[in-house]
Formats: sequence, structure tokens, C-alpha cells
Amino acid sequence: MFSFLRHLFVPHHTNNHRPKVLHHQSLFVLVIALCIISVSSTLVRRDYPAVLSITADISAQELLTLTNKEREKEGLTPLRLNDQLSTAATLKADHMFTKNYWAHIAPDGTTPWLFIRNSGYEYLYAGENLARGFTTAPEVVTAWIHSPSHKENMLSPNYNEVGFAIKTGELTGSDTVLVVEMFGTKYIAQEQQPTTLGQTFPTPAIPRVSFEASVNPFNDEQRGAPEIVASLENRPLIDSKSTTRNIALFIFILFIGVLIIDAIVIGRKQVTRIVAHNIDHIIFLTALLIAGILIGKGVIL
Amino acid sequence: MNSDFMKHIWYYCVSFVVASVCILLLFLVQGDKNMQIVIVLGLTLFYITWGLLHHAIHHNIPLKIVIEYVLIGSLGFILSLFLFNF
Repeated sequence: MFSFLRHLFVPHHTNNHRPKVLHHQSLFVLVIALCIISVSSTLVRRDYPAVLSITADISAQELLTLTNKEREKEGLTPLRLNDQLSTAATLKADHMFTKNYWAHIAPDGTTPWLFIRNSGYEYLYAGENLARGFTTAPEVVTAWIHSPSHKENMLSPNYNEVGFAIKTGELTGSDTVLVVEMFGTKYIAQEQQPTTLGQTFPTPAIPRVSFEASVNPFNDEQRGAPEIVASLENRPLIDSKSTTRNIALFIFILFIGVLIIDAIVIGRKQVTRIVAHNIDHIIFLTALLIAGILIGKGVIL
Repeated sequence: MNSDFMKHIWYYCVSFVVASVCILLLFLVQGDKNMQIVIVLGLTLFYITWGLLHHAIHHNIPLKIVIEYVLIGSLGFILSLFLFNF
């Protein structure tokens, strides 16, 4: 067993002073195997989502509870879940998937406020938080609360209602779980006479948009009966996201480790070989590994 | 080992700087998977080209070396597709 592992991972005369996993044949087989796994997992994910897909367990109720816990800490009144705002959030999520964008303002200029107005919610104040790639409600709320601009929306005394949409789909090239949170306070003409409407989302300097002048982004089907997604509980047999990620992490670390061992052992033995520079490989693979670890999680906007 | 490393230090420094810039760019475009693929592909092509150029200048460049860079580059790129959940 030991000699087999040494043959695989340590330069030795049995492997011609180059770990077997770094031989061209081994690398070629591994690259082909990974290509086959990638293609087959895409097919299985498409045809058998119950077996292989993204694991997600996010509910509007849990998002609301966690948001209100944060507001409670600041002595603020809790937000109430509003169906119209949830409808607006669902329309926004559908629009993002249909038009394939990840932004507060769509490429065609559609703002979040249009979705709120089209849901029938007349607002005095409104705001929007977005998240994608997270799989649990605490992850989403924690990410928002650690971002000053998102936190400002969550803890704003201007809002007293909120709506959520949680949907899965393909967005800008990858399967993802999208969470849209719409904040609002209803405009009541008899009680309040606002001079301006407040509209905020976590990006500075938003342009004021005339709703009447905006293009209605909804088709008839969407306008008729938008589906309100209150929760998403997806528990496939195999979680595609964490499985592929863990496989990649393991192979990256294995190869970087073997390259370092190879460089050290050969450096000590002063063996002459015709091979590429290990340090080139180590820098390249380590950069990809660090980038993957840093940005592989969910993102907020 | 040390003298060999010092002999090639500038090549490694350039690789390190380019790799660091790519990590930063990947961080800046997070959420846009298509752009992330372009950046990872760019880093892979740079790694192969720079490695082969490095070899061509300081040593000879047999086919074995070319294949090694292409295979490690392909491995890194495919693993990135897995790691970034493309």
C-alpha cells in the first residue's frame, strides 16, 4: 500500500522520478474523466433533478423572522409580510430569469419600483435587496446584514412591510437560487401627503423613473396570476453544488501538494529531468483554488 | 533548487502578478458566470503561453513540455468549472 501511494505521489525510481499522477497519461485520463463527469452531471441535473440538483432550504417565513430579529435588536418595529410585495418580488425574479440579468435595474431600464406598482402596491417608501447562490435563510440574512447598504434597507424605520420571492433557475450562465426581498410602506393619501417618494436599494445614485413612461415588462400570462413562492425546499439525493465543489477542491489540493513534494524531493536529489517548471503549475493552480474558495459562495446585490 | 528558483524569479513574479490580478477580477465580476469563465480561460491561456515562452527562452521546448502545460492548463480550467459551479 505504502509503495503504491509513493508510486502515485512521490518521485521515485519506480515512477521514473516523477509522481505517477503527474505523468501525461494520468493527467490525460483525469481530464477526460472530469469532462465526462461534467457532461453527465449536466444531463442528470436536467433530467433527474430529484437525484442531482442544488440543495436549498429557504422560506419567506424564516427570512422574515431573521430580518425581524435584526430589527428587534435595534428597537425597530417588526416588518409584516405583504402578499403584494411578495408578488412584486416574484415578478422581479421572473424578469431576471427571463431577461438573464443580475442587477437592480434591468438592461432595458426596468426598475424594481415598476414591479411594485404593477403588483398593486402604492408605496410611500420602497426598497430592494437581492441575493443569489445561498442555500439557507441564515446565510442570506447574514450576508445582507454584513453589507452596510443592505443592512440599511433591513433596519430602515421607513419600512413596515416586506415581501420575498425564492426561485431557482439558470441566471447568467449557472443554476442558482435567487432571493428577492422587497421592502415597502403603503402610501395612504388621507393620512400622508408625501412630496417625494422614497426608493432605495443598495446601490447609490439611482435615477428617478417615471412609471407611466416605463415599458410594461410583463406578458399577459405573468400579469394574470403570478406565482408567489413563499419557500423553497429542494433536497435532492446528491447536492450538485457541494459535490462538484468538494471534488474540485480535493483534486486542486492534491495536485498542488504533489507538485510541492515533487519540487522539494527532486531539488534535494538533484535529479535531471525534462519536465516543465513546477512553480508555474503551483502558481496557476493555487490562484484558481484561492479564487474558487473566495468567490464560490453566494453573492448579494 | 534555490539558485534555479532565483534564475527564474522574474518569470514567477510576472505569473504571480497576473494570477493575483485575475483573482481580483474574478472577485469584481462575481455573479456574472460568463465573465468569470472568460477570465479563467484568459488565465489558463496566459499560463500556457508564458510557461512555454519561459521554456523556449531558457531551455529547449520539446513536445513533452508543451503537452504538460496544455494538460495542467486543461485540468485547472475544468476544475475551475467545478469549483465555481459553472
